[in-house]
Amino acid sequence: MNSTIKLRRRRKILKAIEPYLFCLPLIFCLFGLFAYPMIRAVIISFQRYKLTELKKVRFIGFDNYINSLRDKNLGMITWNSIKYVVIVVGLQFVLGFGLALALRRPFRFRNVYQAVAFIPYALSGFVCGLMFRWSFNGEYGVVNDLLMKLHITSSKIAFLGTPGLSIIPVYVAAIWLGYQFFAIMLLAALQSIPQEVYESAELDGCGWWRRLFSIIIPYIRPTLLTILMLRVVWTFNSYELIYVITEGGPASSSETLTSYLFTRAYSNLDFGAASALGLMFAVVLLICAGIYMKLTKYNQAGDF
Amino acid sequence: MKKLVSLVLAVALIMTAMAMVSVAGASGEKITLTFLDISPREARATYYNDVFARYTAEKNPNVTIEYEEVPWDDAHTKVVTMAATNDLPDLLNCSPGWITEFKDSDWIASLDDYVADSGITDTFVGSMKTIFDKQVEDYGHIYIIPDGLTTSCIYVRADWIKETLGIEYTELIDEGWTWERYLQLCHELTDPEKGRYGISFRGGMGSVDRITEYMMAMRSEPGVMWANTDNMDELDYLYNTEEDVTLLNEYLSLYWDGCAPTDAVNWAFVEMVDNFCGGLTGTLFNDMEVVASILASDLTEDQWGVLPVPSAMDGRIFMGVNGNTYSYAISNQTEYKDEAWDVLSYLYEGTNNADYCKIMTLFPLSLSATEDPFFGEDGPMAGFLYEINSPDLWKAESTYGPSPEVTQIDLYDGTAELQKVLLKQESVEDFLAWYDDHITEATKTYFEENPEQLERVDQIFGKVEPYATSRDAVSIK
Repeated sequence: MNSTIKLRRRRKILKAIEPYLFCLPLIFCLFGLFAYPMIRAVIISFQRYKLTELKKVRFIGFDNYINSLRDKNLGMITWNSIKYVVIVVGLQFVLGFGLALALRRPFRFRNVYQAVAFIPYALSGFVCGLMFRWSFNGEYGVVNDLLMKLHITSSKIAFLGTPGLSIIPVYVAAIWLGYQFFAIMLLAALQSIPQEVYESAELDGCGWWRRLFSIIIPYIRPTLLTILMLRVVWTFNSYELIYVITEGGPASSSETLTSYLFTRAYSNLDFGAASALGLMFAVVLLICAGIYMKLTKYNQAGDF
Repeated sequence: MKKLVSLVLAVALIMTAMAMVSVAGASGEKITLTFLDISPREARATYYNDVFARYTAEKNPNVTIEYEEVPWDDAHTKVVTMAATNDLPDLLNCSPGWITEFKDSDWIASLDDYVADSGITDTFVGSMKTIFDKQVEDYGHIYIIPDGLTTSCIYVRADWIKETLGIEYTELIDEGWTWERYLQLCHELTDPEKGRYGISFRGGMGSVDRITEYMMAMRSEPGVMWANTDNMDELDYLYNTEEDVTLLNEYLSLYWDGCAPTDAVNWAFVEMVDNFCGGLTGTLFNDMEVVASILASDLTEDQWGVLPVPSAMDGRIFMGVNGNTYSYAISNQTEYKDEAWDVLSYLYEGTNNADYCKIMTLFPLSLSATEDPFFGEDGPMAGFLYEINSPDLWKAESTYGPSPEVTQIDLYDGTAELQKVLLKQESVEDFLAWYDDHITEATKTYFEENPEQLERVDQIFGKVEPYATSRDAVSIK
């Protein structure tokens, strides 16, 4: 009798903790891949932590934060980041949405066209960066050649050597590399809109714009808001194109906050300063995401 | 008796076998060492793969060596990151400019015992002993073994000079080859309509070294960089006077006046060499190793030539380089130090060093290699030989000071600040003041954290010395 009670009790306990046991591997993974680096970054951000002087690691309070905020380049770099995100995500969205609308209806060779249009998305950022770095080379680049042959400019433009212009190849590369993401996601969302809705709208005499704003966009709003937010975060966090095309130069003029953070970490090898910058960016991003969700009534947008 | 003879033979065989594998794999264990090349190119990769394969075949079948590479412009970051994560290769190339930070962090092993026990010094030219002595003096131990000896020079487009000035490029030496003449030549060779620029201008990483070398040569007191070194509170970096402002303005005018493409604001080693070899620029100031790149390019023999480094106001030639390039070091993180040393010493055996130096256009350090006529007075490197043995050639550290922080300032923050000057976002005065502040603070901090180094402060700052004497000349026959 006693043993039966014990067995039942044990089964009950096991049943109660079963979900947690299943979650354990995931929790370990999350801790190892996310929580631990995060905690470590917080600790390092309060340390003088230079890779070249690991024997002299010591706590220095808020010095890394204060020095980062005092950095004379910070204002310019923050403004660069905002421009980068707005221009790149904005144009990726417009082009991606346009492509998705164009591919929504079946036409001959649609699959072939779709495959060709999506090829850049399969390229690595590094390869794409090298391609655009050479294309915009001031002396040998194909872009200058085209501009001169089309009589748009009379002399070569040193895109990569001129502050203000050096970021243009990065914009172009980032847009070319990423608009397909919007297209893929939005195409899937568009295809989920029932055909009858379009037909009813047409019968009611809805024009193209009316259909776009009254039917299509409200239908795909959850997808739209989610991928916009994801893309903003990804674009803000991306640095590889800047690293490959301009290395942040000349004179830091094409740095964004993330590429600058990368430079602090992997050129200056100052992981303390880089961690402090990274944590400050993370907080700013979280605040921006919160505001975005509030303004767009994200929680009422429906399921993705 | 038979048993005794068998036993003796067996012992003899075992001892022979043990002697053959005295280094690695005494237990027959097969190991793989990694070697990291920090200036990769096809010819180097071929050389190393070949020499490592021969080492395995001839010296030690239990040891194989894997060749890995990282481009020079990323090498410092990559190697430091590998070291910090305890992932250094067993054997690596190491720039002499990195020794301070690497030995301070215990990343590279002292080679003192290996050098002493192996007697390898006897197989080297006299210059090597001087290099070893200098390392012991500066760092307390021997940490690196140079792959060869180099000197700097000015590469020129001989055909452009003939076309523009109507003279052979060698005639420039007879006219008096000074820095002023060199700057003038850069202007003369510039012709944007023909797509020609006078100089492969260094505006990217490493640019601070180049301007310091120029100022070092052109100042009224050439070579001296620091004052009041006997009193750290008053330690004074000298290159921040009105004279320096004038000199730096003169040098940077090469960029402002269009003697280099606008994109040159970003150029580092690779871009400078590529654009000279590609026919865009008329001159290039760099080390001897560039010859290999030029020979591999489309430039024909009559299109280019080599001139010595221009002389300073007082007739001396100042060199900012360390004399040796991609030296070899053994990682402190390897468990196979003995094996790594065996591989390292093999690189100087037989014709290995000579073969390497021919590929890299360096002067070999193995005595046996100096017999090779390629490196002699009648060989293709005669001009370099003349320069490296010249009594007018003086060696002076350019900017790499004793502190790892100084390396960082020079390579990264200093580059960005100098780019602002090139783009006229900042004045020359502001840059020199910024550099003075940072380099002085870093140097003082170094001495505060390493007070024992104060005893040898004169050695650290008093590095201007006759190049040939300091190297005991290069004894090439």
